[in-house]
Amino acid sequence: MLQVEHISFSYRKKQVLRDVCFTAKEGDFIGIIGKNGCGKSTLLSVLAGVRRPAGGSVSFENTPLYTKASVPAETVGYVPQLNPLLPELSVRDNLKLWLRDSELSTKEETEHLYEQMGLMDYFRTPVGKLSEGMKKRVSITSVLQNHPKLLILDEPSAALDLPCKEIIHEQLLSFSRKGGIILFTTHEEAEFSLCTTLYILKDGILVRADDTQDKHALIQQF
Amino acid sequence: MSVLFLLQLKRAVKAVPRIIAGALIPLFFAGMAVFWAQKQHTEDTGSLLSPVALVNHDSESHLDVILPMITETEAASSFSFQEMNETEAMDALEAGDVCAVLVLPKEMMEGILDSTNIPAKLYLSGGDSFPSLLIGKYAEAGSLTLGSAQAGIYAATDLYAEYGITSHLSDIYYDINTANLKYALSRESTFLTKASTAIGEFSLIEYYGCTLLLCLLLFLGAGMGSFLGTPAPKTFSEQLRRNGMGPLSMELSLFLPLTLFYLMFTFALAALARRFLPGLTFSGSSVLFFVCMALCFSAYTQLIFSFAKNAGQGLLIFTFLGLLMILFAGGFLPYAFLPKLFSVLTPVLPLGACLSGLRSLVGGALSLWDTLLLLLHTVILLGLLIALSLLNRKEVRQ
Repeated sequence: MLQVEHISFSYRKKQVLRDVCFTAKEGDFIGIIGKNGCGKSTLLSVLAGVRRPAGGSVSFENTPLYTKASVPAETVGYVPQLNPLLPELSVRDNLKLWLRDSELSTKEETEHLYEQMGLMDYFRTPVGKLSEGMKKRVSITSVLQNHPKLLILDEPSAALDLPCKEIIHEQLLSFSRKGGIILFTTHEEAEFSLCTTLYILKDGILVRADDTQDKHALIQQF
Repeated sequence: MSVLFLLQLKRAVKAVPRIIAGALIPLFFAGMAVFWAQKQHTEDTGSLLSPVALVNHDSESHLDVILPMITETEAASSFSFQEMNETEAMDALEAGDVCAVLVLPKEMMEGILDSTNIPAKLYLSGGDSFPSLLIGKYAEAGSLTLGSAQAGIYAATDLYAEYGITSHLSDIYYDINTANLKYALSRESTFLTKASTAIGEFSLIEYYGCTLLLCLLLFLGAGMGSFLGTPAPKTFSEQLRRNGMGPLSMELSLFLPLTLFYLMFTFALAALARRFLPGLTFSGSSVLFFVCMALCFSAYTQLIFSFAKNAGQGLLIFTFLGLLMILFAGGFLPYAFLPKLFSVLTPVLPLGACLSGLRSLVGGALSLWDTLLLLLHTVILLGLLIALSLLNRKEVRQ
């Protein structure tokens, strides 16, 4: 269970997040929508431990997160909007860089994940030579290979082609089905249907969307 | 941490050909600057000749034969003799176009031969200009030489007449004149001939060899720094931090490969440069100096690229500041051509200290102080780097 309580955050004098509270249980697929610049990425970076909130707390399975400098990669995986990859290095080297020693998975399982993400043929290719879709796949794989329990993704399918989106969606649904919690931001209408819960962030306040509302009505609320 | 370090090293290795190619282009421009600077302080000494007007009223005698023997002596080589009539010559002296007028009287040669000695006149420009004083001194020495030659000629004439061999007199006159002119006051005895140049005890190759060596390191560093200093988007360092690698670990993971490369390049370039700079030895003290120089360059490179907002800005600041420091240290023009402030500032500039230390090494006068100064610069730069990375972390966290 993820518990987010009274999170607030400001950029200098501008308050971006105000008293953000929500909970998520195993298997939840939570989408956060909102206007450009409304603070979605900031919220995710706070939840991922990149930024320290001005107030509030985040706990997972009743244990506060981010109380130490290090956030265990096996607990929370974070895929930022911009890929944290070194372009000169190969796909294999980039994955190796983010792979933590873990007893959660065997080498075979990890290779199976690479195969599912369609990376095996690109192992020796420098990341800089890959398409944006492939880079995003590498980025997501670098997180999934550590088997996190909570996965935070900032617009994972932005500007990707349909086949690439499908591969990513499949992996995310598979992760969710296995009991993982997903938090992600999106502008894609098609992705609303993946979510078990949708939240709208407006003026720094996070509001749960009415499940009965149709997509267009949701967009109107932005 | 070790994985990150190895991967950073791998990235750097992959970029080496590009870095070397990138260093050659600015080096070409630096070479041109050095060439220009070299031309600036190797002025043609021919332009230093002082003009003297020569008025010859004795052109019908043998003086025409003797005159070139005088004007072409080593003593007279600082002057250019121009034949004029007396009026023109005096006008030129008044106008300052010539530093002296030498008037040779009519029947001067006969006067010398029959001992009536009609004197030549030397007019010098007013004041105490150096060329005037010099030709006055030469004229004085010349008259003494002439007196000596005259005595020899009279003695030879009497002696040959006594033995009845006057037919050979013209030969002995020639020999006596030649011998006396040979012993005339030489220019070397007037001047202190100690060599003194703007670049001190160094040859041009040694002086600019040090500059080029440092410029090469600078330009290689520009390539390496822009590559290693800004490795990836901000998200990369954020992710590293989430994975337990703090700013210091991140800086260290960049500093180590950077230092390794600087060490490699420093020693490789020094080994190559030994052919032109024999003073570059690989003794214990010089190896220590090279290590400190590599460390200093690494710290400087990383500090600048950490400070800059992006690789392009970093490259600009790094190269501009680097070249400025080399200029301050007299890398392109010797101190003689630069404001005095430059030489005062050199020890407090990291690359200035590198250059002056390198010159000490090439000149065989490397002291422990040179190495310690570099070490001190490295420590200060690293301190600033740590402070900057902690400050950056604070900004991000807020």
